[in-house]
Amino acid sequence: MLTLPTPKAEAWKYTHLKRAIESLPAPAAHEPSLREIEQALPIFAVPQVVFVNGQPVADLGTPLPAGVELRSLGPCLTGPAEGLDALDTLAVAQGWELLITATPKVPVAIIHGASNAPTLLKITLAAGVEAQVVEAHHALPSFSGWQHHATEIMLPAQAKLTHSVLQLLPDTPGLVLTRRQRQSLAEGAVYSGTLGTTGGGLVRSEIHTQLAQNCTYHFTSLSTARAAQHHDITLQTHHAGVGNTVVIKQRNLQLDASHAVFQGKFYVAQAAQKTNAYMHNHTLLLSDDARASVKPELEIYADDVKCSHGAASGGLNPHHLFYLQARGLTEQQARALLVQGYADEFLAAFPATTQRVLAARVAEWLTGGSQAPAPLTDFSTEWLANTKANPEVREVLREFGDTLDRPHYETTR
Amino acid sequence: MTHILQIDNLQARVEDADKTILHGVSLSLGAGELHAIMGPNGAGKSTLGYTLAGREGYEVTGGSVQFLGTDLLAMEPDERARAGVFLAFQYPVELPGVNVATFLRTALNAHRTARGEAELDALAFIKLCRAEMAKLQMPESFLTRNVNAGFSGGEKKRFEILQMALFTPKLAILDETDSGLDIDALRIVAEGVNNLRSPHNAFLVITHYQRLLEYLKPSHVHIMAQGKIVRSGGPELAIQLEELGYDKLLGQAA
Repeated sequence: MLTLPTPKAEAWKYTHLKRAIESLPAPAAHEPSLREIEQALPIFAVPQVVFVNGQPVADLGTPLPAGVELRSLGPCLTGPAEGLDALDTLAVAQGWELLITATPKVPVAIIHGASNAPTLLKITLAAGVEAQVVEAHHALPSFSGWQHHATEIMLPAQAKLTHSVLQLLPDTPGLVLTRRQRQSLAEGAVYSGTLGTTGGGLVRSEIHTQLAQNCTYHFTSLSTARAAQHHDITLQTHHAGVGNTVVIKQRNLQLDASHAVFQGKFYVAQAAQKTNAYMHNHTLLLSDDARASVKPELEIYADDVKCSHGAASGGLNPHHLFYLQARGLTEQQARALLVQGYADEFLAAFPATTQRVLAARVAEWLTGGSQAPAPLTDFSTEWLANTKANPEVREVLREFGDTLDRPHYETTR
Repeated sequence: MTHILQIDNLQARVEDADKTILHGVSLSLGAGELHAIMGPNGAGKSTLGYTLAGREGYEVTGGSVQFLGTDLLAMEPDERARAGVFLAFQYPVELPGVNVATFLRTALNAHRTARGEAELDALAFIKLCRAEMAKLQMPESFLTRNVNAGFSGGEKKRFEILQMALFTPKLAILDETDSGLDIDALRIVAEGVNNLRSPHNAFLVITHYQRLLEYLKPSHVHIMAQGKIVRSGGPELAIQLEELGYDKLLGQAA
């Protein structure tokens, strides 16, 4: 019998997983066809593997680049024998490993289609290899139930992973996603992570990081929630050796009665001198009913370290709103522009591969999903350079007029 | 003569300070005029600007303000802006993550829609914007930055003038736009204002210094003290003030 975590456990203080799972409706009987799944998939325009019910579907995937291979691990458990809690003891019918032995020329996307059974993916890089991997959790609006997913990342010496995880879920109250990511960085390894979360009912994302020495760990996370959605980001970082650099930034944008949880802990062992670690959480509460629970923790045994954390929660600044209103924007326009600004600051950290997909979902979140994303032009340096330098771009822009105002991610397959 | 702005015995209270700051200001701006308001710190000059722009916390307790024949005080801040009132802020605020070009285009199109004009598409907007930026000697990279974030004092003030040039207001209120500017920036900002002057609009320029007025050549100069206009005159009043200082000049008046 599975003993699910409750708020009695410190690590689950703000997230009542047991209650959420026990109150789930019975899973929908509807089994979507591959065609239905395909039509709803996010588009990353890079080689991809699509998992449906924990198995890669050849029809939906594209060939992986040289140096990358996907192999079966057979039946396994979601976590190590001496795991943290029940979530480490779940049986996975077949786990998979993404093995990257040589630096691939292009990023690789792994799309995890929602499944009621636990899933596991290992991402293993060879020493010195540099790779970009996207993981996207995806569910159709008809999906409900609980999925637990485990990702294990092994970065040997001098390996460098750019890892972008998207949890772009439909606004389904009966959808629970728990994701536990464990990663181990050997000497000089670099992990550059981004996490984007929207929708779902309850989403808990954990990252447990082990740093050897002289590692670099950057992590930027953006979450947008509405209705009664509950988004929990829990990060544990263990600094074992000298000279590690860590920067963690997390931002929640919250409408309605949503609840954001951020728990971040730095454990700095006595040997981990010259650690330089920073973590910050910012929550923008856009309604009186929105809630944030924030718990940053430092546990430091070394004496020559720089560790800090900060947190800020609040609504929009009335001075900002007045400035925009004094420029002719209605209050609604002013609010939308400011919220978009807070999102854009964090979207900028995402790699191009995932940035536009997430930007589109954030725009939907902002407009309540009831209307198409606001047609904002992406006035990037690149865009300006193009319009200026390239007569063809100018011509195309003229021809299509405002239709090109829509963001570029609205391409079709 | 057409009146752009008619302020009659305006009294206002600042809620945060729990204090009445404006004690009956009366002022009339005709089309084509530029009025300068000078006065010691705490005279209520900025309060006048914020009250006209409709800032929250600036409560009108008496008097009236007519803008182009309509009751300005009955309008929301954004309605005032779209109707043609522009306030150049003394301290423009930084908007994290809000791109300059997106902000300018959204605001410009709000003005255009209110005037019954078609919205500008991205390319037409960039063209217009580039032309105005060139006049203010602003590099194009400005468009890719975030609103006022990391701008120097001079850049912030130039950006206020750029907005004014794009929105072409009927009434522009400049709240110490010259403070914190070096001599070259001051000249560029003054030229920006002069370029916009026309027989159809009016300017209310709040300043501490005669130097800006040398460039702007005001039609009227007012001295404000303790929430009231205590002296009014032509450009010569500013010169007199520079020579004598507030104490002496206002002492004479008393």
